[in-house]
Amino acid sequence: MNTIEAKEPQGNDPVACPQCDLLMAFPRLAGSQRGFCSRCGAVIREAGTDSMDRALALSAAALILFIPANFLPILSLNILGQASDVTMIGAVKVLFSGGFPLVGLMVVFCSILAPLATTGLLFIGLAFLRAGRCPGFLPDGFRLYQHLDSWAMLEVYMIALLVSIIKLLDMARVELGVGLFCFIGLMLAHIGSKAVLDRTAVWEKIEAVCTR
Amino acid sequence: MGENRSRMHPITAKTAGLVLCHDCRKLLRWISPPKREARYCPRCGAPIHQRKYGSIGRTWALTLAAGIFLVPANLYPIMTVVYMGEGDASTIIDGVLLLIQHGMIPIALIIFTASIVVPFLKITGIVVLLLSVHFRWRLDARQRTHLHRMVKWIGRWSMLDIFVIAILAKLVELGRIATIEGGIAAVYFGLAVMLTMLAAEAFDERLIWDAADRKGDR
Repeated sequence: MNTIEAKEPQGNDPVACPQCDLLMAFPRLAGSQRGFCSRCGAVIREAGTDSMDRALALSAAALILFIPANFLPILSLNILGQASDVTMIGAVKVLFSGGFPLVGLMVVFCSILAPLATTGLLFIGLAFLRAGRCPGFLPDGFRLYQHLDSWAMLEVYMIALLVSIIKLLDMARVELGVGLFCFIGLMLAHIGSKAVLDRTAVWEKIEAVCTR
Repeated sequence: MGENRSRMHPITAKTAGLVLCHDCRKLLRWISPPKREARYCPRCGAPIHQRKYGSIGRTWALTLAAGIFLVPANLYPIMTVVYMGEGDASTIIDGVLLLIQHGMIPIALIIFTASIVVPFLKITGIVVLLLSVHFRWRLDARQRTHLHRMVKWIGRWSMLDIFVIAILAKLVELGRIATIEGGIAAVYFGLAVMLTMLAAEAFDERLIWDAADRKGDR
């Protein structure tokens, strides 16, 4: 491989801005500091306290909530004595059976598969790193996590649930189900795991663990 | 590196003979590879390019495709509501008008923003970025970077209407009383949203700064 690592001067690290390519000498950050690019304002580094442990805990919480959030009824509806309810899985199934498999695929990908894959990859990856082990799939797994990240849209789904509730209010009585609370927990844990994670720290850890 | 000097003669990773890995952000020495041979990051295994490969062409293709899909997405019905035997197919804008008629102004605003304003602004934004790089427009590079960040961040929120349709379709399947079904426009709309997300991702924002640096102004 003809790639050579850049030499690192002592004290400051050379970093390049991922958004404008400016080369900077950057000090190590501590505590909950954030470093921005001096030219375009992009976030270059975020140091979080116990970032990886917190992300591991939150991704574990999200995985636990995943099953109830997907299979338990989120909302139920009563019109003139007839009742029906909606689960995350059910909302996808109805699109497939209603003749919109493509829309069904998009919804299942953004609301179920991508969140599950990102949370799972994050949990497995961080758990291995914590144990100081480096299975071969680790770098690829974390890269996949980063690429799938923007397709997991649980917070958009949450707003869609609120819009649906309000839309139906004058038509029928809408009741909140247990699944809704599991879903809210899942969404918060999922977003939290993203927010606390310091990706640079993960890559440095992967480098340290895998080249040992 | 002094603040003033970096403003006058910005030293970028590219001009310094370095390259940043797109995926793990490791700074590597750039050795231009022998023709058409791919190089990979030693840390994460991602292919290394100084700038995203074929960024401008791919961004144009994805943006144009998204723009084309937006036409049927807005003309065909996105949802059909059957209530007490009366069917009512509505397009995106019909749905918004209906909500206003029912006095649900905040929800109408949310749907209007997510389904109509955002997709069109996103496509316009990406086209402006592409043209500004191509013609080296004298626009503030920092503002254009902000525009790109915004386009990337807001993209996902357009899926809102698709999710609402899925939820309503499942919730309201009460046989004779009422049903809600998706419409053909949902397919086009969903594809348009996903294509704009891919387009925003394909665009390499560093090209904005490359063009500005070459011109010697910002």
